[in-house]
Amino acid sequence: MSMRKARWLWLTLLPTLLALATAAPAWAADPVTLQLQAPEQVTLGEEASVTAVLVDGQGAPVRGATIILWSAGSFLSTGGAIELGRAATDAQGRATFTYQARSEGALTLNASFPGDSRHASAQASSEVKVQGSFQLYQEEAGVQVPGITVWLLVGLLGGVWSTYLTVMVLLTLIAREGPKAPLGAGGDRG
Amino acid sequence: MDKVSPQPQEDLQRTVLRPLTHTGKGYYLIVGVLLLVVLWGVYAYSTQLAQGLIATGMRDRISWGFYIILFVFFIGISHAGTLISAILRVVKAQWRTPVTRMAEFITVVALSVGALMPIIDLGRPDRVPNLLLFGRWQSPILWDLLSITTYITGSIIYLYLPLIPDLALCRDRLGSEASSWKRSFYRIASVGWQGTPRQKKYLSIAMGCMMVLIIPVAVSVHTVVSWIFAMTVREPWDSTVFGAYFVAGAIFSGIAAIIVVMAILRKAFRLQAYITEKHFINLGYMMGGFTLIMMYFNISEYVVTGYKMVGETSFHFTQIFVHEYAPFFWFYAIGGMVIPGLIILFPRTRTFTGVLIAAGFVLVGMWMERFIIVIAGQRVPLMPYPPSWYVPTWVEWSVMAGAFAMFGLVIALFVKLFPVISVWEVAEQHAEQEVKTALPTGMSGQLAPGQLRLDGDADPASGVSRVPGGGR
Repeated sequence: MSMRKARWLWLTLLPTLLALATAAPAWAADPVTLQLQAPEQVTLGEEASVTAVLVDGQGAPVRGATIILWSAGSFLSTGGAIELGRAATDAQGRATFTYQARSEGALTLNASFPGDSRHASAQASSEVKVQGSFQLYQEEAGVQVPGITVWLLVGLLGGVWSTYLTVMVLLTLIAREGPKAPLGAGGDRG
Repeated sequence: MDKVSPQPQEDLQRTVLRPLTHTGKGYYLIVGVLLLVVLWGVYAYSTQLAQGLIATGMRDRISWGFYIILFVFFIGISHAGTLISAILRVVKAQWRTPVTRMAEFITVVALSVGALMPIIDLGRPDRVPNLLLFGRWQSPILWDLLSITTYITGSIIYLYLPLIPDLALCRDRLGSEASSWKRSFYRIASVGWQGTPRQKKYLSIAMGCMMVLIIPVAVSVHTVVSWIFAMTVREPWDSTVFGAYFVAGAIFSGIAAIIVVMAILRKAFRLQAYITEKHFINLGYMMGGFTLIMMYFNISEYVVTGYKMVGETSFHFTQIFVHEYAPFFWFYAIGGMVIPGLIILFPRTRTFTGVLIAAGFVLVGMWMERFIIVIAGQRVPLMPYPPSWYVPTWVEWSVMAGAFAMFGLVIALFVKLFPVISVWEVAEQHAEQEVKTALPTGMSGQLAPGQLRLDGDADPASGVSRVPGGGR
């Protein structure tokens, strides 16, 4: 084998070996199954229990694994995953979350297991229908003073802008008077 | 002290209208320099837009910097104009006439520059509409937006109303001396003013409404600006007197701004006959009075919070009185309040030059005060983390220079379009004085001061045209 051929062989083999060495742990990891159990329907603002169950390839529960509960969210032009909570699985491979639905409509809950040295990653999702029109924001901290509402602000601003409008009307009256005035109406047009 | 110059009306009009048609090389030079600085500021801002707020010295712990300091500073200066002009008009202060127009100019220009600052402070200025689209009426930020919008509109109206007779004067007097676009502008902007009794009556009512209304609007604006701070959970801003303190500080710095701008324009346009030392000294008295009010507020605030010394007060007091920000605080206290107060107090230093120097000290001192409030206030840790630092970058320095240059540039452009002194008000005041002089002793008191203002009843023998737009 010439030196040139040997060099090409090394150049081909080396990346392949490196790739195999990197991917080996993933191949070696046991496959797992993640299930997400959530109620089909929940009421807005009320707490619901959501459970994720992680079992390995033989159906045995995986204990002590961290499960992340999340849902997709967007605000204006920004979108991403909103983490709702993290919990570790118990001896039965169950991670339980308490979730409060905060917006009405169809909601997709997702559970993720990122994987570890022995287990591969897994993901599951569940559809939940959120019903109700409960106002989650409650002004319990303040003191309700009768009359102190947004209408007070509107009234104040309205008063000021009405005066501006009146001044504008007076300006139009000034403008209308102009063409009518005979030359020298001001008395000093000399 | 000087009296209002008894020069004839013709001289007054010639002097005041001359800058509108004659432009010297020096003017172009100043405008050119200011424009260059503004353009540099725009370039710096474009860098910030491209790179994001990382181009500034603002970070998560101290998230407000020069821009918010400038916002408070310029909004403060803007109070000068409207408040001082309106108050002097309401109390019918005789010496006000050459001052009010410049004060109103300053208001509109400072307000426009100041209102830009919170937008510049945003990393994503394209999201400003969200404040209205998704704003909550309980938020001081929304109150700020509403009050500043209301104030800027009111200030423009309040500047424009007393300008109408003078715009008519420009329309009728400048003729071919003015360029064609200027003639068209004066014709449209003077809304057909002929000085008829009805027009005077309408204008008088409109000005009366605005001069009374603009005072509470102006007070509300700076109160709301203070609430942006006071309603945030930060120990150094936790004060119930912040509203009154900010309003007083605004008027204080505003008077100083009027003095400086007035001195520059007086010199540039040779207005010494109309803007006399008396006007500066009277404004100096007002400024002197406000030094005492500011001292009172400071002592009250620091003694009360210092006596209790709860929470992080000791950290804050240490940084502003003896450590990091002590030079800023003591310059503000001594240079911004004590020295100006002493200059005004002693007759020997209470001169044109003395008042001008005092005003310069006040302006720098009040900028320092805003620096202490904004930066030192945020430096107090909210949680057990090490206190942070704010070091402005070249972008912020450049934008600040650009903002000041824009303030000067817009004033420079204004004075080429509008008379810097209210000609008709000075003429009316002159007529009023002559009538009083002509009447036997004791009879002048029978005149209703308002009668001579816009109703055209002044002595026709005085030779002074009282009718705006007339006297041609």
